This record gives sequence, structure tokens and C-alpha cells, in this order.
Amino acid sequence: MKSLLDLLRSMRFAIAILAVVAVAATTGSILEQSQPAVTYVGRYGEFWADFFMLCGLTDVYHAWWFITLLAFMAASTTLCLWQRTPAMLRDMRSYREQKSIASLRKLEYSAEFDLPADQTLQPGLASYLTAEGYHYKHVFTHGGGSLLAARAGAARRLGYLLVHGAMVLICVGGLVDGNVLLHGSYRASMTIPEGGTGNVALVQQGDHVLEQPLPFSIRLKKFRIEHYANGQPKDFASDIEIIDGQHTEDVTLQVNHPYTYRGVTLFQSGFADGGSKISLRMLSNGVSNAISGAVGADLPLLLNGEPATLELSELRAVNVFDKDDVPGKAWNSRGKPGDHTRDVGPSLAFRLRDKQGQSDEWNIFQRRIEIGGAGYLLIGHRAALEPAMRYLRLPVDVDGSIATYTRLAQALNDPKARAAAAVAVASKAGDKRLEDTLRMTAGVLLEGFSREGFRTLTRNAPDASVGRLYMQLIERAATLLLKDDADPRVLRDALAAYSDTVEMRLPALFAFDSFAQVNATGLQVTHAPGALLVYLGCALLAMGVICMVFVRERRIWLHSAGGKLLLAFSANRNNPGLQAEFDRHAAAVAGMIRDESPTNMR
Amino acid sequence: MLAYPNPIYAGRRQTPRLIRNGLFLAILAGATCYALLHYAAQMDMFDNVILIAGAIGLAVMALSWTVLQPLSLGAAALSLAAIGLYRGQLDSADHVFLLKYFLSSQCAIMWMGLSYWGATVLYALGWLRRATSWMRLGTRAAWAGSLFGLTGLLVRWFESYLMGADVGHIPVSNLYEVFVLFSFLTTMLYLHLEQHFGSRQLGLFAMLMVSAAVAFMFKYGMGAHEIQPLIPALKSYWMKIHVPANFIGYGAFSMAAMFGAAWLLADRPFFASRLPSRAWLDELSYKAIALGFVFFTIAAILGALWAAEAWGGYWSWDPKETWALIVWLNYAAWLHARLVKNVRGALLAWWSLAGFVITLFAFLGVNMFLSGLHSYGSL
Repeated sequence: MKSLLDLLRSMRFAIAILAVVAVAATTGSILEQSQPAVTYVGRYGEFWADFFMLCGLTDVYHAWWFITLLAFMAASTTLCLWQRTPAMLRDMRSYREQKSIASLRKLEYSAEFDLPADQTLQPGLASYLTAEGYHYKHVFTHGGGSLLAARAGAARRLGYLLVHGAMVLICVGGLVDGNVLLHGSYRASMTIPEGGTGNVALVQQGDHVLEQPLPFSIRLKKFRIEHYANGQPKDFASDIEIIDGQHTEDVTLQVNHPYTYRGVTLFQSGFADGGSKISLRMLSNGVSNAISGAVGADLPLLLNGEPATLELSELRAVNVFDKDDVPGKAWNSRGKPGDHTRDVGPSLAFRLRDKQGQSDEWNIFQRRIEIGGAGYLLIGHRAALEPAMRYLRLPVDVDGSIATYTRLAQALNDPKARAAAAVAVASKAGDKRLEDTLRMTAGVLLEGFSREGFRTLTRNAPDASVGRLYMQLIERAATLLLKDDADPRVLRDALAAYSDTVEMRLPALFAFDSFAQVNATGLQVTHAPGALLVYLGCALLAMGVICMVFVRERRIWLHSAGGKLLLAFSANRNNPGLQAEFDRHAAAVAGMIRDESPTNMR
Repeated sequence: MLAYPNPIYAGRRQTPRLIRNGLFLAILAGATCYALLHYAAQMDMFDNVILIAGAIGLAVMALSWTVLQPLSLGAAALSLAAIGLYRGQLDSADHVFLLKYFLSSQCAIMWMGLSYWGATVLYALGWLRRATSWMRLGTRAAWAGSLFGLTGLLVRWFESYLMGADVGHIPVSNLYEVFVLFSFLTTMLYLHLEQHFGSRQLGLFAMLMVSAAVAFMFKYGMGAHEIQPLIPALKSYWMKIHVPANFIGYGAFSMAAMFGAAWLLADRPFFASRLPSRAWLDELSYKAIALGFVFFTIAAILGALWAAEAWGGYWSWDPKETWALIVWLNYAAWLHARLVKNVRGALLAWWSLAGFVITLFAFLGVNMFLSGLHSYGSL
């Protein structure tokens, strides 16, 4: 037991424990913490995942061994403090006037002066010491001598006590809030939709979630997001009402502006969707079906005759994207708000799940988006096994609809219309034989295009020049399919979009009509009874560190006896600058002797 | 601070300092009162407290280190000139000559970088030839760079308000801005040491570190120098004190590492004839680390207080926090080894270099390799 105590209070142990805590903390920052077990298995393999979990490396900062390390650090500091405080306090007050003259002479910085007869210079030296910021004590020594023992910078030792005491306080406070010493502290989160009320928060603990009841209820009246001119969020705020029995209180929470009620502190930490009302349309086979529901809901529908579920997952009212036509930033560019970014309007993400349970992801935008001078409606789609979302660009007509595209898609899927278009294309040839060939080729191409898009060109054309010819033929036939003069650019885009639709195997198209946003606020709810200890510790730590570093403890002894004056000087830390300081004192003392000497009196 | 042997500046103390100090204090007090009265409507209590505390802090520092008086007045004059020339239009920087080439923040920061590089070259020349005249020019260039750097930061602060009243913020909010701050503060720490220690032999070592920071800043800053609005979590008065305190710490730690390197080199005759004695190098390393430790401790405490307000807890084991703790523990162990165990020499010198690697990781590596709540300084 004694040897354990000795180990704990040894400086070697203290330095070692600082290093070990540092290394342990490093592992925790490098290995991602508190992920579900699957993540570790996926990333490091089963063996290592098991190993990490066994050692508590997946949640280092709450692992028993880490807490033990911290406890050891606190214990070592406490023991050091316990052991040294009495001596420190004694030393702080002591003038070390008992030091023998012989030992003073042996100090690294000491000098002896001859005194003029019967002079002690006592008053002059004393006032010099005071002027230099020293406190002194005057004693008579055995041989009839007189000693001025002086010290300065006692605050340094106070600094030591403050720093180490503060570390103990901070560790204790931290252990209280880490639920090691006491229970009852928590850091939980809760989500409340607008108009909703909640009195239970959730604590994430590794893989599972615990419920933390609150001593009061919170009702969210309104959640607000403010934006900068470029669409970037500026501030989140919740107008809430705290309901505590009969007592109610209106509070506004903002990021960086928490509110504490009955020891529980509420923070604005995020936001979520509180069930916004959405209406969208599904377009399949030329039929448009209106769908409406709330975010988070699963909507049953018939997709090409098959039952399926549409799961509305996320509504974004603002989508800020980098502009695509920004010139490279110069070294002195300024980038005012909106220079490089733009808001492309609301978007809706949803999943479409078929009856086998397979789902694909969609992301659709409400407004048309300008790309390269033309307007498009964007539809993002990611099938189950695809790595990334692909975007379909539907060209928008002058009136804002996608009528050109839908008419083209319908006509392409109508064999009669295709045949008519092939005849019409061929009729302009003039030559009968050429006409037949053209009609057949156009028919085959249109049919192929309707099935597999532009791929049909690569399949049918023997070389690139024929491919270009076929391409022209398809474009001309498409003009005739529409039976009117469509904008050639819109037409070309519509063909490309159709080809993409076929290639992406989109079962239907969706258009995002309107929404009514309902927000939910994300709050952090904490109760940290140890925080006061920690803050007190922090204040003491700051003061103590300043004292320890900026205050130097220095001592001066001036002993006069038998016509000799001994000057001795020491400081808590030896450094090359002390010699200069000592020389200054020695010169001052020598000067005083000169001034007081009888030769100068004349 | 210690009484250093100081041959360089010994003769300068006889100037009529009373009048100069008085004048400086009068100007500072006048400017502070003017700001307090004239902008009372735009400032809340925290702004007032920070302004008054800042003015008092500057007064105290500038009385004990008088060169700060011309520096701060010069930077203030240049910034006011820039503000006048802008006439409330950010686009003025494109056609007003002085703004376009000198005073707009981006220009001033470029000049800062060039001056610091110049200072490094001059210190190197003087150091190699053991010629004080070159090194004195190096000191001048370093001061010029600091004047430009401080002006650049002040003008950038103003420019952020020209971008939009709600965009305006102190320029310590992203990696580019803190690199400017780091270069400026590290140079100022060195210049303070140079003046009090009375030798320019370490100028090359300190300015090499600053030059590396400037090079990184220019390379990285080519895409990231534009002023961005603050994310909500950064909109706090804590930022104004947390970040600068941290960077005084980083600056001091990096200087300590350079002194450690100098200590290790000092046993070769070539270096020994060009460096202070090992005893002094050891002492200066200690001083730098002790100073850095004080500011780093305060910065960590301020960070904890801010975290308690913004993230709901004073400590979250966020990677940046964790690494700040690692840096702190490392230097605490260094100080214990030196002060209590009386370890000296090569071990401490190598340790201060290793400490710098850890500090660098906490400063940059965390942003590059680890993700967490401190995601604003991302590369």
C-alpha cells in the first residue's frame, strides 16, 4: 500500500500518466467513436471489430479503463497537492532567515563588500529591497551581525496550489458529469414539431437510445430559419413555451443563446421536418395522378398496375448550389453573396418501394432550373445498386410545362404515330425507291429509339457518318411526330431526356407541385451538476498558470557583520539571465556603500 | 520579464517617453470614447466590454513595449484611410489606386507575406555573413510586414461589413484568416523576444516558420481567401477571444520548436558561432513554451465556455477538443520534466520539436483527417 502511494505521488508517475492519457485520447480521436457495430465490421473486418469492442476502443472516453486513467491522474495530482501544500504554504511565508552564513556564501550568486566602519546601511538597504518589490525581515544573528532576509514572488507557490487544485476540481466535475461519481447528469436531444409538445428527451448510448423524462414540458410555437442573401442559413431560432404545471414561460432559443430552467439547459441544436404537406404528380403512360401526403408518411399507389409505396423522406425549401458558369477565382476576387452560388428552389426526396421491398431513391425539384441558358426540370434517380444519383433533365416549354416532352414520349410509344411519321419523312424524298428505304429505315429507327433510346444508333449504324445521318433522320421524324413546329432545341433536349428515361428505366415521372412547410426543432437538453465545479476549476487554473509562469520567486539576503556585507541571491529557477539581475543588485549595493563611505561625505 | 543582456536597444531609452506615452494614451482613450459614444446604438454590452478591455490591454502592452505605439497608430491610420477610400462601396477596390495595390485587405495581406519573406531572406543573409546591418534590415522588413498584416486584418473586418451588414465579422473565422493571424502573432512574439533579448541571431529561425506559414497560406488561400458569411454556431462573442488566444499559443509553441532545433544544431562550429549559447536557447525554449502554455490554457478554457453555450456541453470529446487536450498534456509533461525533474538538453529540444508536430496536427491535421464539430477550418 505504501509503495503504491509512493508510486502515485512520484513525479515520474505524474509525467507518465499525462503521456498515457494523451495517447489514449489520441486513439479515440482517430477511430470513429460510438458507431453501430456494423460500421466497424464493414470497415475493419470482424476480427478487428471484435477486438476494438472488447477493448472499449469504440467508445474510449466512456470506457472503464479510460475513466480509471483519469481517476489516476486526479489521484496523483491530489496526492502531490496533499503532500506539498503544507511545505508550500510554509515556504511562501518564510524569509529563510535561519540560513547559515556559510551556506549563503556558497550560493551561486553571492558577493562580499567591505563596509566603512560602524556602518550597517540597514535603512538604505531595506528601502532598496522595498523599492525592488521585496518583502523583508530583519534579524540579528549570533555573531552580533544583522541580516535582512527578503523574498519576492510568493504568488508563484500560490500558482502551484491553484493549478493543481484546479485540476482536481475539473477532474471531479468531469467525473460527476460523466455519471461516474454520481448519477443524474445527462445530455439528451429532442425533436418537437411546430405546435407539438414534448417532455421526454433521448440519450444516445452506443447502439441504443434511452428515454430521459424532463421535469417540465416544452411546446414549440414556431421555428424560424433566417438566411443570408446567398441562401446560406444565418440563424436558427425556436419560440418555445416551457410548461411547468400551472407555470408557463415564453422563451426564444437561438444558436449560441441557450436557456436554463430548473437546472436543465435547453440549446438550439438543429432542425428537422415536422410533417410538411406535400403535393406532387406522377406521370406514367400519359396519365397524370395527383398524390399528396406529409413528409415521413408512406403513401400506397399503383405504379403501372403494380402496388407500390411512396415514402416521402425529405423536403428542402432552399437548395444552394455553386453556379456552373463562375470564372476561376482570382487572387483578389471578393465573392459577394450570390456571386458564386444560387438558390435553385425547393426539392423533395422520396423512396419508391415495390412489393418485393426493393426501393429506389428520387430527388425532384419544384422549379425549373437554368442550365446553359435553357430551363429544365430536374429529376434525380438512384436505383438500389447504383452508386450515385443520376439526374434527368426535362426541357421546359415557353409556357413552363413539359408538354413537348410528354407529347413526344406518347407519340414514340404509339406504333401508328411512328408509322405515320416514317411515311411523312420518306414522302419528302421524291424518288420512289429511296422513299421505300427511308420509310423502312425511319420506322426501324423510331421503334428502336422508343425501346432503347440513342443506343439504337450504335447498334444499327455501321459507322459514325451513318450514325450522324440516322440521328438527323430521328430528329426530323420527331418533328413530324409532334405535328407542329417545336423549338429545335427543346426537341433535341426532349429526345435526349427520352433516351435517358429509357436508359435509367424510370417507371414513371414525378413533378413536385407544392408544399406547406411544417418545421420541427432539434433541441439539446442537458443537466450537468458538475459544471460549476469545472468552471470554478477553470477560473483557478487560469489564475494559477498565470502566477506560475509570470511570477518568479526570488530571495535576497544581506548580512552585515564585522565590517563586511554579504549579498546573496537566489531564484526558483536557474537561468542565464540571473547573473545580470544579480550584477544589478551588486552594483546598487556597491553604489550605496560608496555614497555612505566617509570619503564621499566630504 | 527577465532582465536580458541587451546591447542593441540599450541606448534608446533616453527619448522623452513621457510625452510620447501620454500622447499615445490620449489618442487611444479619445478613439475608444469616440467609438463608445458614436456607435453606441450598434454595440451591445459584450461589444462594449471587449472594446474597453481591448483598449486597456493595448495601453498596457504599448506602455511596456513602446514600439507597439507606432505600429498600432500606423495600422489604425492605414485602415482609416482604406475605410475613407472605400466610400461604402466594395467595388472601389477595383479602381481606387491605393486600394487596388496596397490597402484592400487582400493586397495588404499579400504585402505582409512578401515582407515576411523578405525579412527571412535578409535575416538569412545577415546570419550567414554574421552582419548586423543585414539583420537590422530584416527586422525592419518584419515590422513592415506586421504593419501590413494588422492593416489587412482590420480592413478585412471592415470589408466584411461592406458585403452586408449581417455578413460582417472579425476575420478569425476560417483557415485563411487564422493563417494571417498566426503569421502576424508569431512575428510579433519573435520581435518582442528580439528586442528584449537583444540578439537577432534567431530571426532566421523564427521567420522561417512564419515564411512557411505564409507559403501555405498563399497556396491554400488562392481559392479560399474570399470572405464568407458565418455559420450560426460561430456567431458568438467568444470567437473574438478564443481564436486569438489559441494562436498566441500555437505561435509560441512553434517558436519553441525552432529554438529547440537551434539548440540541437548549436554543437556544430558553423552554427555555434552564429547562435546564442545553448543555455540561452534552452531558456528561450522554456519561455516560449511557458508563454504558449498560459495562452493555450486560457484558450482551451474559453473554448470550453463557448462549447457549453453552443453545443450544450463544455466538453464533447470532439477531435479538435481532444487534440487540444493532447497538446496541453504534452506541454504540461514537458514543463513538469523541466521544472520538477530538472531534465535539460537534447531530450527537451527533441521534445519541443515533437510537441510542434502534435500542435501542427491539432491545428491542421484534425481539419484534414478527422471530422467533428469544428468543421469550419476545413481544407
